[in-house]
Formats: sequence, structure tokens, C-alpha cells
Amino acid sequence: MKTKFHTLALITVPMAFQVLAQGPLMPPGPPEPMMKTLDEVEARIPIESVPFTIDQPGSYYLTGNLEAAAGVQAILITADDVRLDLMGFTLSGGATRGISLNPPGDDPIQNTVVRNGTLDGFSSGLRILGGENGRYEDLQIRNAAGSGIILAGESRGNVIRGCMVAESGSWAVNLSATQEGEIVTGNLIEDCIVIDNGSHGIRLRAASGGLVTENTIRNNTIIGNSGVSGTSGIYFEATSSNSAINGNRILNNAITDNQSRGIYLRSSASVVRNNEIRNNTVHGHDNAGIIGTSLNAGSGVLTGTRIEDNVISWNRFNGGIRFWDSDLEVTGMVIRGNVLADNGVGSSVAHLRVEYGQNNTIQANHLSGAQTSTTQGLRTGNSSGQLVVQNSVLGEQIMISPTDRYGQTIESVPIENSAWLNFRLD
Amino acid sequence: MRYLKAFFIPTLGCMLPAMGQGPLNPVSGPAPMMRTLDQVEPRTPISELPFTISEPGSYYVTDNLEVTGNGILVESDNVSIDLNGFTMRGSGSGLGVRVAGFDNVRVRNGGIHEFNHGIYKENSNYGRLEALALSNHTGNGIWIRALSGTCNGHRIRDVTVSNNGSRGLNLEAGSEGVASGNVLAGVRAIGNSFNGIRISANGGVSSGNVVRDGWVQGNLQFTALDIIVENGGRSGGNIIENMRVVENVHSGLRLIANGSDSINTGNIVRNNQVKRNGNQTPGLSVVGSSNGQANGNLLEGNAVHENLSWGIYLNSSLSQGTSRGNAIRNSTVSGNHSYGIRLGGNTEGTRVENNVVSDHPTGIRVDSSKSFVFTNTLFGNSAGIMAGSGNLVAPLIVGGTGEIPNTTNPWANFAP
Repeated sequence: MKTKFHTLALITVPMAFQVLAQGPLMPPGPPEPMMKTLDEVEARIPIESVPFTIDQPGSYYLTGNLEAAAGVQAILITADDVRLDLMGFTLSGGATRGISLNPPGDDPIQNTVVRNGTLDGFSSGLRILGGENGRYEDLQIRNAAGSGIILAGESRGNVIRGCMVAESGSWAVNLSATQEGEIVTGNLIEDCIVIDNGSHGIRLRAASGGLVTENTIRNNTIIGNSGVSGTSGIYFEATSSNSAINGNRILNNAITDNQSRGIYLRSSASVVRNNEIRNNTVHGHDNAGIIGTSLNAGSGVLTGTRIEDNVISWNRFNGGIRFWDSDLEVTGMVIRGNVLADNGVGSSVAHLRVEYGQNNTIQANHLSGAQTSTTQGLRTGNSSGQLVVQNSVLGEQIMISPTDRYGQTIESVPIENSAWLNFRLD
Repeated sequence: MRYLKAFFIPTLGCMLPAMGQGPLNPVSGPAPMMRTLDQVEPRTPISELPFTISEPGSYYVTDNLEVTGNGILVESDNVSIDLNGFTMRGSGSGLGVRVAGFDNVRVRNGGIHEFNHGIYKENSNYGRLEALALSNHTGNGIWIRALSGTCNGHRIRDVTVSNNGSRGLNLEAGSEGVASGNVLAGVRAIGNSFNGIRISANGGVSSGNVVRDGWVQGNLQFTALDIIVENGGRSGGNIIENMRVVENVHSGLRLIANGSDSINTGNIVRNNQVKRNGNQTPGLSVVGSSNGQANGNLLEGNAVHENLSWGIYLNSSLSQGTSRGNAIRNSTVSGNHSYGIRLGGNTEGTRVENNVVSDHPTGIRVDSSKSFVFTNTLFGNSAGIMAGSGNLVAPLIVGGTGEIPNTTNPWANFAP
């Protein structure tokens, strides 16, 4: 009996399975893949050696630290819509570029993304000779013999964010338009650390018909750049009549301990116009905090630039803010709401000095202290039509050209009923 | 019976192909473009502690890891460590991650708990610490220490340091060291036994650092967010902005230069909230003491409320320090238990302008001379402005209704 039941069960169970799994015996097709292939897990295109040219759109990634042979450009990008993830690895090499964007035609390369890794060495770490709407993020760029980052040609709307540029031999970040028709515009450099480079931290350069316009440089730390004479934290350099540096915004940066100048505006036979320098700290420079001069006695123009709400301290030889060059026409500037402290050495140095200026507004600045007692406070001269009002000075002199317009200087109470006063307490 | 068994076996055998069917011949050979596992995950795994990294590269943690003693020792430049969301846990001793003398080391994306110090960096530059939680260490959550070298250019972003036995985040320039150009963005320092965040130049230099967009709360001793210079060190050009410094047991936010030749100047403290900090100490203060100089700082747009002593306090009365040439403007100061704004000794040349100061025993008190007090609004204070001689204090217009006459002094302070 027991054996019969077992036998019945052995027959019944397979039949039941067949009932449950019924259907045509012929398979409908090959088995559906139930697992991901490695191609599906990592669909991006690996870069396992350099040199490597990306001439097709797509998503690429590094598979390890890669070293380019001497004189060999590591990665060349010539296509639009490329995304390159360095995956935390280091791309190293020498004597040429680490990553370079070279447009194959006249149009800039579109929508490039490069992120997440280190470029160590090379002549320049990242060179963009024409790029539009690209993003360059979380890059550590070190030890370039020349510039860490070059943004040149026709380059628009790019974002360089969260990068560090250190120990470059020359300008750390170089925005450069040096030919007729070249324009570097609408780019954003944000949250970057630019440190310990061998020349200027960030350089804006226009020459031979090039334009550098409407770029924003904000929330960066620019520090300890030194090496060549005159090294500055941020350097504007316009050097020919048909070139210009216009409408750029320098906002909320910490600019400290660069060798010579914090922010240097330099124009020769050219125009530096309508730029905005606001909310920065500028501290600890050997020459000056913010200064403008012509270049090689080339009769330049600085006009319409606003210098507002900066804190400028502990800058030495030429003081806090200084525009004093007979070859430089300084007009329509607004210098307002800045705090200047402990700047300058030497008897002819002022915290804030604007000479050879016309129609500038110098308003509501607060000046105090000096590294020597002979430093002057606020001074204008060889100027006309400048409005000098609402400034306050502790301890130093206020010396205003009689050809300017200015408020009475109040040194004790009561405070007069005038909106145009300047204040001084000794 | 044997017949039935013989029937069953082929039947079952027929059924299986029907369930897992498909042609026996492969459709095609493997495609030549298939990835290797090294291509899919090219980084180097860390699957146990302690682990020493002696080559540049990209590393990742494969699991929650525990250890007695040190966790990860980095002995190379150009290293990236992804904790991959996992946690490293110690036993109250050792260092979670140690980097000494190597540059460009990145640690990200995970937790480090219960070591002596969570991350310890010494004389190392350009590091990045991102998306980390560091808690319950017996010492500091993060200690970045330039003894005689440099610790420059770090980026510390989206990091929580909490309940540590010493400081949450300690950035320190020793007597010959430089700790400059570091960025602390989105750091939350909560419930630590000493300072939440401390940046110090103890004979060295710490300049151009940025502390922004973070939260400092419930720290137990010393100033919650402290920029301190001692023993002839120099600090300057730092930016502290958009921080919430609230409900700490001691004082809130301070810039101090202590000792001869100590300089703490030219900093910006902007748009911070400093609230309900306690223990008879100021909410926001600038102090030069023992011949130290804390000059030329800008305190702007801060909200300083309900602290248990002064709201904003500048003071250098101790041993001839100076706090000169500072500016306090466009801030709201209310409900602090002592003075709203107090300028103590040796605070000449402070410009106090466009602040709204309310609900204090005294709104603004100026002990020193040679300061400028313009266009502030005061209300709800028992006394409005108390200032000694030698200051330029605009008249206080009290009360009144209706249109302000055109003859009113444009510099006037108002107590409507």
C-alpha cells in the first residue's frame, strides 16, 4: 500500500508541474538575460592609456593613474558632448598639455565635462582653446610648468568649480584673448583654491583685438602666489587699443599673501571698463591691496569699475587702494564702503589714493591704522570732479584736491546737518 | 513499480527543458567590447584595517570596518579614498586616517568614529575632506596641524564633526607653521567638548581661510567658532559667512589676537546668525589682548540675538591690545542679556552704522574714544546709546511720529 502511494505520487507530481508550467513546448526565444552584463554595469568608455584622443561624443573614464611620455599630450578632446571622469586618479606628464580642447573648426567645443581627479605636471594642466558651456569640477591641478588652467580662444559660458590650482610655474588660471575675434566671456570660476603658484593667481588678459568680458570670479581663495616680480592675486592686463577687459565681476574672494599686489588693474592703450570688485578680503601683500597703473607708459584707461565693500588690510609699500599714474586715465570709478586697515609704509603712502582721476566717487570708506605713523589716510590730487564724501578716517590725514567735490571734514561733535561730510578722529 | 519509476524519470527530464528552454547553440561568441572587472571597478579595495597606502591612486572601502589603533595611514601624494558609504570605527585610540607630509589626499563619503582623532593631517597640503561624519573621538574630529611646515589649500565640505572629546575641527598653525587658504564649507560642528571650529595661529600664520555655510551648535567649552592668534602669529583676510552659531554653552564667534606682535586683522564676518550662546560671554566678539592687534575687521549683516551676555563686543582693555578700525554695520542685534553692542577699551576708530539694536538694558555702549556711531535704529532698550567723550556720535532722535523733517540730521540715530 505504502509503495503504491509513493508510485502514485511520483507520477502525479511531475504531471502537476506540467499543469502549472504548461504552454507550448517550443521556447518562445532565447532566454531573457536576467543579469546585467559588465558592459551594462559600466557603460562608459575606459581610457587605459595615453595619449588618447576623444573625437566622438560620449562618457569616458580613467581606469588608473596614467602617465604621458615626455612631450606627449595626454588627452585631446575634439568632439562636442564629452564627459570625462578621472575617477580620483592622477594624470601626469610633462612638457605639453594634460587635457586639451582643440576645436577642429571655427566653433568652440560644446558641453565638455571634466571632473574628479588630479592633473600633475605638464606644461599646462587643462587648456581650453575654444569651449562653450563646459564644466570643469573637482580637479586638482598641480605642478604645471606654465599655467594650471588656460581658457582662451573663443570660450563662453564655462564653469570652473571646486578646483585647486597649485604650484604652477606661471599664471595659475589664465583667461586670455589675444587675437582679433577671440572672446572669453560669460565664464564662472567659483569655489576654487589658487595657491602657491609661480606667478599671478588669476590673470585676465586681452591683447591684439581680444575681449575678456562678463566673466565672474567668486568665492575663491587666492593665496601665496609668488615667484616673479609683481605677482598679483588677480591681474587685469589689457594691452592694445582694440582689446578690452569689460564687465567682469570679482566677488567674495579671499585674496591674501600674494607676493606683490592683491588685485592689479593694468591698461595700456586700452580700456578696462565696468568691472566690479566687491566683498573681497585683500590682505598681506608687499606692494598694494588694489592698484591700477598703465603698462609701459601706454596711456591706458580705467573706467566705470566699482570697488565696493572690500576689506583691505596689511598691504605694505603702496597702501590699500592706489590709482596714481599720470599715464592712466581713471574715470567714473566708484570706490565705496571699503574697510582699509594697517596698510602702507613710507611718508608718501596713503591708505586710499586716487590721482589723475576724473568724476570718480569715493564714498563711505573707513580707514584706520598704519604700519608707520607717517602714512596718509585718504588722498586725491591732479584730479577733477571727484566726489569725496562720507568717509571716516582714524589717525591719518584727509588730503583732497580743491578741484574735487567733497564734504566738510568733521573732527568733533556736533555732527553737521549735511549728508556729504567726511569724518576724521586723531 | 520499476516500470513506473522508469516512466517518471524521462517525464521529469522532458519537463526541465520546457521550463529553462532555449537553443543549445550559443547565439554568438562573447563580444570583444566586454568589460573586465578591473575596468568596471578600477579602484583599489580596502577591506580591512589597518591599511597603509604607499602609492598614488584611487581607493575604496568595501565594508564597515573596525580596528584597535590606527585605521588608514596615507604615505603618498595624490590619493583619493572613497569610504563608499561605510563606517570606520576605532576603540578610542589611534587615528582614523593619518596623513603626515603628503599632499593632495582626499577622503570622502562615509563615517569615521571612536578613534583618538578622526582625521589627523600634519604638514600636508591641498587635501579634500568631503561628505563625512566624524563623531565620538576622544580628541578632535578633524585635526589639521602645521607644526613647522604648511597645511594650506584644504577643502573641507559637507562634513559633520560631533560629540568629540576635544574640538570638532581644529586647524592649527604652530610656531613656524602656515595654515592658510583653507575652505570649510558646510561644516556642522555639534556637541563637542571644546570648540566647535577653531582656527589658530600660534606663532605661525593662518590667513585667507574661509568658513561658510555651516552650523555650530551645542559645543560645551571655549568659543564655539574661534579665530585665534597667539604668540606673535598672524591671521588676516579670512572670511566667515553664512554660519549658524547657536546655543553653545560658551561664547559664539570670536576673532582674537593675544600676545605681543599677534595680528588678527582684515577679516570679514558677514551674514552669520549668532544666537542664544551663553555663560556670560559675548555672542560675537573681536578682542586684542596683551598687546595683540585685532584691527580693521568688518562685521556686517549679522543677526545677533538672545545671547546671555553682550551681543557684539569689541574689547582690548587687557594689557594694551588694540581693536582699532573695525566696522559694525547692517546687523540686527536684539534681546541679548547685556549690551547690544559694546565697544570696550582701546577700540578707537570703530564705525558703527546702520544697525538695528533692540531689547537690551543698553543698546550701544562706547567706553573708548574716537569711534563713529551713525544711522543706527534702536528700540526697546532701557538706554539707547551710552558713549564717552571724543567719539563722533550722531544725535539720537527719540520718538516722534509722521514724516521725518528734511532738516533732520542725515547721520542721526533713531529710537522711534
